[in-house]
Amino acid sequence: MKRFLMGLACAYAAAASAGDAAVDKVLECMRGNIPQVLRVQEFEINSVDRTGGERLLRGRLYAMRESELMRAMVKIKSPPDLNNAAYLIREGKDRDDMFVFLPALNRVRRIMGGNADSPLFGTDLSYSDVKQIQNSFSGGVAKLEKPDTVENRPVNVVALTPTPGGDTHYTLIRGWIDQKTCIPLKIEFYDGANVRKRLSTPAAAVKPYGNAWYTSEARMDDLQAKTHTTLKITGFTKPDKLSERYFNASSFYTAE
Amino acid sequence: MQALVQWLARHPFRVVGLCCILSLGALLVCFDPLALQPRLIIDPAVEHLLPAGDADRAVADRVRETFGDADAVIVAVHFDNIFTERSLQQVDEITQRLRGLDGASAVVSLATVPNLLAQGEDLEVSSFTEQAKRNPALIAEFPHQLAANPLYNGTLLSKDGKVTSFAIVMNDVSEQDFLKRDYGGQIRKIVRDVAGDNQVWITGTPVGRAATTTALIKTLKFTIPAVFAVILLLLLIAFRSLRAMLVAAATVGMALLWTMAAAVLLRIPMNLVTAIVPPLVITLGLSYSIYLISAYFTSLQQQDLNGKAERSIWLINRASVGLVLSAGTTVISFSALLLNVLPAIRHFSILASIGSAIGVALSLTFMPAALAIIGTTRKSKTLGEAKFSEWALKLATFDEKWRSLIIAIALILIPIDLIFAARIHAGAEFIKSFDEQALVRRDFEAINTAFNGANLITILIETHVNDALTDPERIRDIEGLEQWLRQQPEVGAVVSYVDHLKLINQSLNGNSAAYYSVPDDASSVKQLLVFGSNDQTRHVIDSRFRTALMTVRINVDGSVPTAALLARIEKQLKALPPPLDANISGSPVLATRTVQEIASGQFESIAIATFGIWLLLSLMFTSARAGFIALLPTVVPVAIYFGTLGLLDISLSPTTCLIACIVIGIAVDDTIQFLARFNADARERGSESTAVKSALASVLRPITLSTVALCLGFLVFTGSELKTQVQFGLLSAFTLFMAWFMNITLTPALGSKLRIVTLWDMLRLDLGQSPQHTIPLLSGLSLRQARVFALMSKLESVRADTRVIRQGDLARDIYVVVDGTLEAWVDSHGERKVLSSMGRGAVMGEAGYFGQRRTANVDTVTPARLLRFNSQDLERLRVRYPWIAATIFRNLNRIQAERIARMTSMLQ
Repeated sequence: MKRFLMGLACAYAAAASAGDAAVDKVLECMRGNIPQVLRVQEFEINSVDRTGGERLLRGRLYAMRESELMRAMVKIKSPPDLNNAAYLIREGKDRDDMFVFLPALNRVRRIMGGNADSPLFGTDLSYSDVKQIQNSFSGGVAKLEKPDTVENRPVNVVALTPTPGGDTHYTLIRGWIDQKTCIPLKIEFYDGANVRKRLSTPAAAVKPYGNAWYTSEARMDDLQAKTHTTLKITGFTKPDKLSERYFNASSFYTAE
Repeated sequence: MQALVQWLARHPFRVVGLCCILSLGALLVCFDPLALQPRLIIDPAVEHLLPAGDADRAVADRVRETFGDADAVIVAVHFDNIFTERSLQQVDEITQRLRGLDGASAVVSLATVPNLLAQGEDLEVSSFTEQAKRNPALIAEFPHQLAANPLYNGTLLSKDGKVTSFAIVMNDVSEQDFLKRDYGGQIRKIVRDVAGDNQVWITGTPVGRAATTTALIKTLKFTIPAVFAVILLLLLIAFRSLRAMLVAAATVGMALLWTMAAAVLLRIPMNLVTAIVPPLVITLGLSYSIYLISAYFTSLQQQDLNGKAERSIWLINRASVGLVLSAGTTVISFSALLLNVLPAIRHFSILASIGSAIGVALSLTFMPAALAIIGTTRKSKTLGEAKFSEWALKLATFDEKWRSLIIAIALILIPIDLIFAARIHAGAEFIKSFDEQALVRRDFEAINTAFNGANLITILIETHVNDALTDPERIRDIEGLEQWLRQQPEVGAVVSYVDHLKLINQSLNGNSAAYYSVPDDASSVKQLLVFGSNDQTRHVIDSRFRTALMTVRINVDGSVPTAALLARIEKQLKALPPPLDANISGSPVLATRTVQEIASGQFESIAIATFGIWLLLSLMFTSARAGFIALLPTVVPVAIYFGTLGLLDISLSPTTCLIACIVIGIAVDDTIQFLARFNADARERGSESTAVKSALASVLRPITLSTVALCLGFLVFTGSELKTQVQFGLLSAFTLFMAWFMNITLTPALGSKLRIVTLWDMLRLDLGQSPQHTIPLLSGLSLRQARVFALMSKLESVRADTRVIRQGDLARDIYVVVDGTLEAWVDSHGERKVLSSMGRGAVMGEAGYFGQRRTANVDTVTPARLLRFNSQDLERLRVRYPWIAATIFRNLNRIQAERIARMTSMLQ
């Protein structure tokens, strides 16, 4: 869960390196889209199951990068019976910490460990997926493939073969990175020879913000489970600084 | 029709060529030459036998639609001590390698499920193996944590703690792919590579289906050549003609090929039921061939047949009626199965009917043509003919002598067998259908014992109201159902979202056992379910909290104990309050339902087949009573079959349910063969008693040979790996043997007092123009009734200048002149005094009928045809056709009255 939220904060940015200079250039461009501080006014996660049933979560997100380590806090606002549930994720050098506050328990719990392939909040995103999105094309060998087009836009194609025994069990991750904005318009996660999941971003949802770009909408399809999850961001700001209480384990759930 | 027969006889090369071209086409339909793959589909799933629109199948579809495929491959591995660092490492490695299997979408094991009870204040969501890797000291707590976790206790670890399981969720892998990729072999290799010689067992629905597919393929591969070989050998021994045998083999081979092509074109898969069709087509085809080859060798003994074409015409005409009738009755009995709700049974019915019709068509077209081209012309006496004639004579004498007793025993057998038949229950073994030593069965039973259940059934709980399943009241209802299920002896384990919920609640509350409970408000439930969800919860409750899936592991196999459990569960489900609407599903449930459906349709099918054949026989013998009598030798063995099932406690399964209809269709052929021959002989010889002997002598050999062929054909099924197929083979052979026994005892016994009129007699009989208007005795009858009377009498052709009635004789026959001229005269002092000249319609000899001696001589002047009948014939007519008899008696009186009036007038 924590990885998902971190991924959401910097979902379409890169924070990784690769040996190839051409790949480095693409990843550097992607990193340029990541803000230091972020406040998402409202996000929406809509999970659609096999039968078309939907579960909609709305909330706010606060994120900050400190020494290249991410801190993020999510506060759920809707549906009403989940109102005020909150998460705090703090990326560490050795391990990540995640805390959860549920109104039903009225206390904070630290969550230990994690299953890389478990769905987060019943969505189609797993820890492993978000980790790959967040740390684009790290943890393996990345190479630049032949350029392609997505929605008539020229894209760079980066293929990553993950290191065996790493965080993911995917055999290949391939991203189609928009040449103009450095936003990935499509990412495919391979399980063997088959595409297991596909993340897609409509080109129309890619918008400028200052010198950088962001996307307001994305969709993750689990092609095997035949489910999908859409992500929408409505309005965000890049404040200079966020209060420490947003990221403090004893106070994050009280911050608004 | 005769034009077609003549064309067939005169163009044997064209007929054979056409058949070869069609066979080549059929071969291309059956086999893809480019892909080098057969196009025939093999579908081993018992539940696929259910119709697509079936309510149970609809529930299964909803389960699959909402929660994905629940049929996982279960792998169980034995460890002397699982709670060691090394063992857990091995579990982790096995899990990773199993995940790497092509088509595996997920693996559930100690390496993937979170050990939620591991920490105190913190919530631990890592797996057992991850925790062991991070801190080996934690392993010491695992036995206690697993025992306290209802989700894993007895599921991921056996009760004795020595066997751990891995559930591999397969991603739309067909049985064929499962076999082709040899998942069983791959899994065993993975375990061997990682854990050495640790014992491994594999089970689950995909495994069972793959094993069934293998067994079906093996059955087909074995039965088809074996049936061929056995029956062809029999043909060779019986007819001592290699050429005839080869022609029969080619005919049956073509019939099989065309039938299989029909299966491909009609998209009919080979399953547990339809797999019986290929050997059945061979068996039926060869029994048809036996009749045709018998007729062929008879044709060789006919001196007046000149040339191959003439012989072929004679052969086709001789065999066509019997063979077409055989095909007709077989198709009728198979067609009765069309009313069954199960598509597999209907498919069997369609394919078997097509195969039977093709067999007869080829026997009447290809066989005579091929025999004309390559057949032998030697007039050899076929093996055992003399012996069979001798036995037939003895048998006919026996049947006549003990006629009443034979009929009485047969009639008594029916109610006795029905009493036993009342004990029949529908049932089928699933995994136990395999031999005890079969790997698939041994693995299943090992896992069933270790985990107290290896079969999974599911309960789909639907509410159709969003968030309804977060209502604590409803959750407690579901919890109550779970508790009730756990008390059932057949149930090994039950898991639902309620268990997940309680476990999450406990783990988020410091692992206090007091919190292993359902929260008091819906809002708390929802928070726990949303934020505590993991990969497993996704498979037990939907995202809108309106549908849930409860998994029940049961330790019974086979439809009977499963049905008993399902009945009890259903009663509980009905008691659930609204909006909870629960239905049972899962492969064992669908298979059980299939078996129950089969049983429910069984007796209707038999009744319809019997009625259809009775109708055909009644039409053929132009009498409902004759139809009933002809049916009796078929009904008795079917009753014996059902009685045997009841007596030996053999259940009605998807395969055994086919036997009755198959036997009805086949057995009645022998009855028809006997009665048709008996009818012809009785008419020709004017004596039923003599006709019984001659008819039995004529048909005993062919019907015995065809029965031996059929029984051997069905006995080949005993070589199958599947018990259902073995049972089918044994019971079919037994019932056909009983049918043969009835046909050589009961049928002649019934026939000895029976005068039948066949439809073709009626159609063929020539009584001249409008006999009912031109022959006074037949006045007032319809043409059909006039023919019936004529056939119940004896129609005799007499040459010119032949004495028909001799003056002074004591005889009781009455004669009616159909055509020709006769003269009545008396010898008056050595002088021939002609009394009258008689032509069409004249009646003579009636004085003898009333007990007086013949008063005059009657000689034919020209060739004549006469209807002769006596008091016995009239009595038989009175019983069988009372209305016709009344008219005849009235006409006879009228003729007598006119004659008396005329004589009185002459005297005056």
